[in-house]
Amino acid sequence: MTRAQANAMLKAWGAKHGLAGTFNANGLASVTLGTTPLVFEWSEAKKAVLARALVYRFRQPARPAVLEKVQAAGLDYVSESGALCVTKAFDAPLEPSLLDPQLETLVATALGWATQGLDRLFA
Amino acid sequence: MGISIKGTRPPVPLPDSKPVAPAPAPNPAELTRAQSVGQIETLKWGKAKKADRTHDGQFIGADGKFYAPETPLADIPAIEPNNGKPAKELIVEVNGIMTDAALHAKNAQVLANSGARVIAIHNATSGMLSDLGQCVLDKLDLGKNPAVDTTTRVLWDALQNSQTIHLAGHSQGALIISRALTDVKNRLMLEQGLSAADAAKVLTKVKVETFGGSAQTFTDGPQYVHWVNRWDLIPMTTGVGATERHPFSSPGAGAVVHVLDDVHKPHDLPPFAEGLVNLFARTVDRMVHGPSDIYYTDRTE
Repeated sequence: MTRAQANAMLKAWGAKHGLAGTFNANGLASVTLGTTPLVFEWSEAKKAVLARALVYRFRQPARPAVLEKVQAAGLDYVSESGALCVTKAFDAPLEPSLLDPQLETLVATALGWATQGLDRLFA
Repeated sequence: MGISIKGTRPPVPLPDSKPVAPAPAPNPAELTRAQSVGQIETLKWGKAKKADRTHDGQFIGADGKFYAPETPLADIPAIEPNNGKPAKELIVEVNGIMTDAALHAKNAQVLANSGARVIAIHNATSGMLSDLGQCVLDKLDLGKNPAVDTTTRVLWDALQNSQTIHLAGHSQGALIISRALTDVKNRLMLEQGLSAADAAKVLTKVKVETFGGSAQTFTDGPQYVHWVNRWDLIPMTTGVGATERHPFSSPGAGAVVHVLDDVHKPHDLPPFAEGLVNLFARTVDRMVHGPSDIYYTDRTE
């Protein structure tokens, strides 16, 4: 996917929901679904849009043992912000109607991790 | 002739001098009062929605004043009952969607009149899906949600000081509280090394009341009271009223659920010119969902 295609995909998805906007100069755009922040990031290296739904945001740098445990469970850590996320890469443009259920699943997964998954991991 | 006193000996009052009354001691409560960062204006819905964004996550205290999200609760003058009812405790309240600051302050006053001091956290969200934010976003911003962040901080500060705290959330406010509680529990586990069970024990100091809440999952630990109107679709489809139908949802261990049976005639509706969505939201509020019309009023009964 090219950045232009990624922009068009985001724009079409936003338009379907009455939202305006595309990626900014940093290759980022964000939206909040319910109370879950969802961030779209353009990855030049992967030629893909990374959609990240927040599970938890660390206030202090995460301890290596904790990080190892959550990363082994498949969660993604963004060190700049301390955000622990569920991430899905989209390497081909999708119609809004196909993107919707995938984003809903992503947010539901992040919520599941925040409310119950971490409890089990740290029981 | 004047009297001059020299040297280091303290002055001695003359026999006929009257004692001077000491200056009144400053009231410590006033000394710590925070500076407000704005004043609520009554605006038409469209303008109010835009203006509201600047106050997302801020506190609303007495006299319709806004306070910055980092302000300690003790420094904010709370909204007191204005109906002569004694205030039993402090409640930190979070509003739902489609509620501008002016309406939020009115609702908070109704909650205060049920017998509480109230400090409100303003949730400026106008829907379940926010605008695509992109102006200043960078990687340091990932995961910010102002109303959740303020609620989380208030909770965290109280628990760090071993204080009890009483939160109340209407509609989406319940979802914000649920998210903040989850966040605090996860912080206790991920950053303080507590087990899930020990984190739940810490949260027993928290009291939570939800009113027509749109959250289905509440972490164990806090003392929950949920108010649900059986005619209100929001809690009945997305909140505690629907938890029986969703195996992974929970109102929280030991939760008390009050089921109301209220349908009112709509009244005092805004003009159609202020938008169909606003008219619809206010009609639903007046009839089955509103904090002032249904839930906060019923709390006093």
